[in-house]
Amino acid sequence: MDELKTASMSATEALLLDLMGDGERFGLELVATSDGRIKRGSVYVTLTRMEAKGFVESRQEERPAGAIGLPRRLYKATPYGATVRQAYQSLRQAISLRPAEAR
Amino acid sequence: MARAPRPPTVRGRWMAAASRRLFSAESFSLLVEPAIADLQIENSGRIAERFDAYRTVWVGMAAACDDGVARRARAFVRDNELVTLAALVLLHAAHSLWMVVLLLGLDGRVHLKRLISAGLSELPTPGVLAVASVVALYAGRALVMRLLATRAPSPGCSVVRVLE
Repeated sequence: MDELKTASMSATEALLLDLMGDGERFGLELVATSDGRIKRGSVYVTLTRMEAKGFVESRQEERPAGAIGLPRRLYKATPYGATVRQAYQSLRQAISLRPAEAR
Repeated sequence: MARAPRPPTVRGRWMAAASRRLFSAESFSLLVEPAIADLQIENSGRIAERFDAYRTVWVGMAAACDDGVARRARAFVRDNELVTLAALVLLHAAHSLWMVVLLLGLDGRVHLKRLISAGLSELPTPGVLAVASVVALYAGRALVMRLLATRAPSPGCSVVRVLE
């Protein structure tokens, strides 16, 4: 029997997906809009891991001919990433209890 | 006489050039290139922000290095090279031990036992020598393959490629 693998999503990954929304964002843009919750030093490592998991897809920005410097990378949430994000959110809501209910 | 105009200075050029040679194209484009691109568009005069931008590049390079090592280790195991390495180590160790045994057999005529025991007390054991030599062989082979490997040009190259 084929064993199903459960996708794992960390809080940072979920936050990055939230910040991306439906559009394409640069890594630095995501850091700037996270109010310090995402560190600049680790954003590309996290985004690369997310891409390996299939949560996001990326492409190089289009630049005019003769542009100076390296091209930046644009990141976009995949439908799979959005589905896993939604599932994790529902799961957290379903299993979380208020202190009064937990007694 | 008018001087030729100098190309504009772009930060992180040497880091990009070194990373292209050190890491795989995928690791470079996903982990290092975006960080260097951010560094290049950084126009803040604040030292803290500049430092942060450089730190991001170094983190990306460390992650790319880690990615490369993990990739090579997986390929090493997948291609059955681990078995080949173990067989080579065993073969080498057996050969070294056999040579020592043969030399010890000549002891009556040339007093090799004394010479070898004096030498062995200072040298590592044949097993260690065998492992070290096989590892050195593999490292040399990897280095030569790395140097001989033809690199596919990156489609997203820009100023780094132009200046090279």
